[in-house]
Amino acid sequence: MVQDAILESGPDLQMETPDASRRDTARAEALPARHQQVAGLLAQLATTGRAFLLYDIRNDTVRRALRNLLDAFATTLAAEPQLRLDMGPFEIFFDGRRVYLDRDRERSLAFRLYRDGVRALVFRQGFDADELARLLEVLSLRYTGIHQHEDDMVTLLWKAGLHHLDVIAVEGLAPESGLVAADSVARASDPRPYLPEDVDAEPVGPTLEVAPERLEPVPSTLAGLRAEVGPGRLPEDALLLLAGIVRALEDPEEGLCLSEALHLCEEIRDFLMSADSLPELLRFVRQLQALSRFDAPWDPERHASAVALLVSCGSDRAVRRLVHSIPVVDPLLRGELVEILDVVCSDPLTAVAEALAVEDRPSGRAVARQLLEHYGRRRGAQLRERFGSAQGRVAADLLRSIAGLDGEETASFVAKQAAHPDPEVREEALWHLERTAHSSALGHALVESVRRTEGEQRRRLLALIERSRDRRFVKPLVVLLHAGVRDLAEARELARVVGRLEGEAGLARWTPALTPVGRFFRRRLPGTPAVQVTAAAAVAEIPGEPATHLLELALSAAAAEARPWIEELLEERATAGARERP
Amino acid sequence: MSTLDLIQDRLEQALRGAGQGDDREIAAHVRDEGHRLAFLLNGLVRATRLYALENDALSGPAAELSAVIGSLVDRLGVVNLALVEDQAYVNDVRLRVRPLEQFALDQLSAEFARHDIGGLSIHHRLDPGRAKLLALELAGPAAAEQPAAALRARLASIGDVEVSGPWRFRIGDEAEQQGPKTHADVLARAEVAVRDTLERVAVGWMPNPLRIRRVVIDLVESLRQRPERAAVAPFAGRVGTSERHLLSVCQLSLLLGRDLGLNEATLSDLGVAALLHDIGYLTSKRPAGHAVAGVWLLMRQRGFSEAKLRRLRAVLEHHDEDLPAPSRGRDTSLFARILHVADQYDRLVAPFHGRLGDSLAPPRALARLWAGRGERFDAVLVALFARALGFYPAGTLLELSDGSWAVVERAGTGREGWQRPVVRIVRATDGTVSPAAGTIDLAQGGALGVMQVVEPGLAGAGIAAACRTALTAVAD
Repeated sequence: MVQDAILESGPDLQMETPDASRRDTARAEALPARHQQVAGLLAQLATTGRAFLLYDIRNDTVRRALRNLLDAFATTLAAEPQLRLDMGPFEIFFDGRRVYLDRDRERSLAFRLYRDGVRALVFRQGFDADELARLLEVLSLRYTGIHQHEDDMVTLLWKAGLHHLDVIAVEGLAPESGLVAADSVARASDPRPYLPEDVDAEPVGPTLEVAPERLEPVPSTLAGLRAEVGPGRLPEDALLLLAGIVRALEDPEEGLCLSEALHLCEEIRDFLMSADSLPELLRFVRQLQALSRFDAPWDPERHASAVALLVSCGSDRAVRRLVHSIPVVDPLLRGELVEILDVVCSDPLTAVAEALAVEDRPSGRAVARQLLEHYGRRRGAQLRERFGSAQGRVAADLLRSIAGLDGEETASFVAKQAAHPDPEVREEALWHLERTAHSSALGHALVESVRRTEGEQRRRLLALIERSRDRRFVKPLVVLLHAGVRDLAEARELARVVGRLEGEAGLARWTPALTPVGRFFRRRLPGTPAVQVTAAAAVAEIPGEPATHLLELALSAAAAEARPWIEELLEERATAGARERP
Repeated sequence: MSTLDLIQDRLEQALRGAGQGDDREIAAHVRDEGHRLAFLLNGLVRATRLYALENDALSGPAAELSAVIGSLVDRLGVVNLALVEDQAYVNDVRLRVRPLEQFALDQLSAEFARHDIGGLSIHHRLDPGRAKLLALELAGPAAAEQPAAALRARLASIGDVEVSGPWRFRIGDEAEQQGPKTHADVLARAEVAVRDTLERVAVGWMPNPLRIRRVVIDLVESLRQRPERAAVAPFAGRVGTSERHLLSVCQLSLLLGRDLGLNEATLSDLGVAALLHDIGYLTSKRPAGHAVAGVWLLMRQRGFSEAKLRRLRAVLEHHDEDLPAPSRGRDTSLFARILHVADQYDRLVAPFHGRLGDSLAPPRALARLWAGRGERFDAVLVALFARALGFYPAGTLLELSDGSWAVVERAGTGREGWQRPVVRIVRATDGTVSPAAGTIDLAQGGALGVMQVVEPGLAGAGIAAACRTALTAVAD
C-alpha cells in the first residue's frame, strides 16, 4: 500500500543536507541494542541490493548475503513487529535515531528511495522470504536499470504487491510549483477538447440490441484470459506487436517509414535474443526478411534498414548474448539456433568462436562447441586455424569441437595435440584419445606425442599405445628407447609397453642385453644400467619360463644400479604368477 | 528447492527479464553523452555572450551540441536534463563529474537559476541553428517577473524545448501533505495529468508514462475501495472533454480487469494504456488511422518493458474487432479487447462531445454490446462487464412503479440484485426535481419496482443535472 507522506517532524529527526561530503559511511554510534540491530539489517539490505551489480546471482557470495539478510529480517521483525523506517536524502531513521548513512549517491539505499519520493517504509511481521525477494528485485532493478520514465521506486514497490510492507511517499524529485501551478490554472480555464468534432459521427459498434443475462464465467476460462498477460506470453506479444507494426508499414495509406519504428524493432530483437525465445527469435528473423522484401516506394531506405537490422541479429554482440543465455539445465544445441545463425550471420563459425572465447558459463560453452562442431564439418580447416592461434581454455574448447568432426585427419590432429605446449590443450587431447577407438591414423601422431611429453601425460599416451595392441608401435618405441630416456623409471615404463606389445617375439631382441659375458666370476651383463633395466622391463612382460630364466640369469650379473630394478620385476612377476595359479 | 534457491531463481529471472545488460549499456551511453551535453551547452551559452550568432566561432560548438542532442534523442526519445543542487541528471542517470569539472556544472546551474528553471526537456533533434538559439536564450537576461514563464515563451519559437521549475528534494513543505486521498482528488489530479499529456502530444512531445502511472495507481486504489465508482465514470467529469472520455474508459477498463482477476500491477498497466488509447487522434490525418498514429506516438518512448509492449498492442488493436471479418480480432490482445468494450460503452452512453440526445441509455448500450458478443466483442469480457454493471447500469434513468424517476447509482449485489439496483429519486411523484437525500435498494423486497427506462433525450436539463449531482456523490 502506498500512502501520502505525513512526516513526523520532531526534535530527534536530524536530516543532513546534501552539501555534506560525497562519500561517507555510517560511523559507529552509541546506539541502543535494538537500533543497532536495525542498523545491521539496513547495512545488509543495502549490500545485498548492490550485490547483483558485482556478482552473478548464483555466486556463493550472493547466496551468503541473501541468507544473512533473511536471518536479519526474521530476527529484527521478531523483536519489532512493526518496523518503521523514515527516509532522509542520505539517511534512514528508526525511532528517532539515525541507523543508516551513505552519502554516495550511486550506492546509497536511502538516496535511491528518497529521490523517488519514498519517505517511510513500514515492515510488518509476516514479511517473508517471498516478499523479500520481490523487494530485492525492485531495489536491484533501480540500482542497475535505467528509468526510461516507465516506473520509479514508488510504482515498482506498489506493483510488487508487498502486503507486509507499507510505502509512504510523496512525488519525489519534483519541480517547484510556480511554473507548474500557473500552467494548471491557465489550462483549467480553457478546457479544449482534443478529439475531432466529427469523431462521434463514426458508427459505434452494432445497432442490434439483445437483453443481457447475468452469467458466471467458468474459472478456468478466466484463468486462460489472465494467462494472456502472463510473463510467459511476452515473446509472443512482442511478435504480434511487430506483426501489427509491419502491417502498418505495409499500408500505403499510412505512408510510414521503417526508420521511425527501428528502435522498437531493436528493442524487440534484444528482448528475444535469448536461448529461452529461440522459436520466437526465428519468427522475428523471418518477419524481418519479409519486411525487407516488401516494396514500399514511399520509404526508399526501408530495404537497407531492414537488412541492417537482420544483420545486427548476427552481430558479435548478438551471438555473445545468445550463447551467454543458454540455460544451465539444457546445454543442448537446438535446431532453431542454427537456423537463426544461418540466416543472420555471414560467418557463423567466426562469430561463435568469438563468443566462445569470452564465455565463462559451462552451458554456453557447451552449446558454442556444438555449434563449432556443426559449422566445422564444412570448414574444418578454418576451425583448426583458429585453434592454432588460441590458448588455454579457449584452445581446449576449440579442440573439443574439432574432436567431434569425423575423419582420420581429425583423429591425427587431435593426437598431435597431446604434445601441445599448452597443458589445457594436452589434457583435452588426452581425454579424447582415451575415449576414441584406436586407428592407424593415430600412429605417428601418438609416437610423436610420446617423444615430446613426459611424466603423467607420457604414461597416459603409453597406455593408449598399449591398448591399441598394434605391434607397429614397437619399432618406433625401441628407437625412442635407444635415443635415450630421462631416467630408469621412464625407461622401464616405455620398455614394458614394448614388451607387452611384442610378446614372445621380443625375447630374441632383448636376450643379448640380459646375457652375461665375461669369464667365471667376472661375468657381467653388457651395456649400461639403463640398457639392462630397459631390457629386463621388456622381458618381464613376456610370459613363460624362458623369460623368467633370462631375468634370473640377468639379475646375478646385473650392474649394482640395475639390480634392484630387476629384483622388483622378478618379484612382480612371481606375484602375478601366484595370482594366476589356481 | 530451498528458500534461497527460490529467491535466487526469482531474482535471476527478474534481472534477465529487465534486460539488465542493455540497461547498463544505455546508462553508460547516456552518462557519457549527457556529460557532453551539459558541458557543451554551458560552453555554448558562454560563447554566445562573446560572439554574435552568425560568427563562425559558434558553428563548431553548435554542431557538436546538435549532434549530441540528436544522439541522445535517438536513444532516449526525449532528453531531460535536470540540475538538482550540485548534481546533473540526464533521464534519471546521474552524470559523473570530476571535481575540476564541477565549476562548469555550477555555471550552468547558475544560468538555469537566473531564469528560475531547473531543467530542460528536448523532444526532437535540434539543428545547429536552433541549438545556438537555445544557448542564446539561456544566456540572455532573465525577465524580472516570472522569468521561467518568460523563457518558456521565448523558447516556444525555437520549438521542441520545454523547461521545468527548479528541482529539489522535497523537505520543507512535506508536512503539509494530506492523508488519504478522496476519489474527487484522485480524479482531479488525473484530469490534469491527462490534459497535460494531450497538450504535450498535440505539440509533438512525448507523454510521460510515469506521471500517468502514478494517477492510475491512485485510481486502482480508489476503485478497490469502492468499485461502483467506475460504473458512474461516464457521467462524471466535465462534459464535452476528451479527458472525461479517457478517464471513463480507464475506470471501466479497471473495473473489467479487476473482475477478470488481473493483479494490481497488470491493472496499472491496463489503466495507463486506457488513458493513452486515443492520443492518436491528435496527430492522425484521418480518424480511422488514430490507432496506428497513437502507436507511432507512444513508440517514441525508448526502453523495453512489459508495460510498454502491452500498451502499444492495446492502442494499436483496440479497434481490431471492428474490422471486416477476415481481419477481425486476429490475435487481438486482452488489453485491446478490454479497451474495446469499455470504449464502446462509454461512447454509447456519453458521446465525446456530449450532446445529450445522442447518448444511449446504459441498458441499451449494454444490450448492444451483448448483441455483439463473440463477434464484435469478447464474449467473456462482455459477460463480466454486464455482471459488474447490472441489468440497469449506473446512470440509467428509471421510471419507478410509483411514477417517480430515479437514477441508478449502482447495481445490486448478487443474483437477486442484478436486476434490482440501488437508485436515488431525482423526480418525485409530485414532479419535484431534486436528488433525494437517501437511496433506495430495489432488491430489498419493497413494493417499488421498475416500470421502464427513460431515454436520456427525454430527461430534460433539470433532471440531467440532478442525475449528475447524484452520480458525482457516488464517485466521491
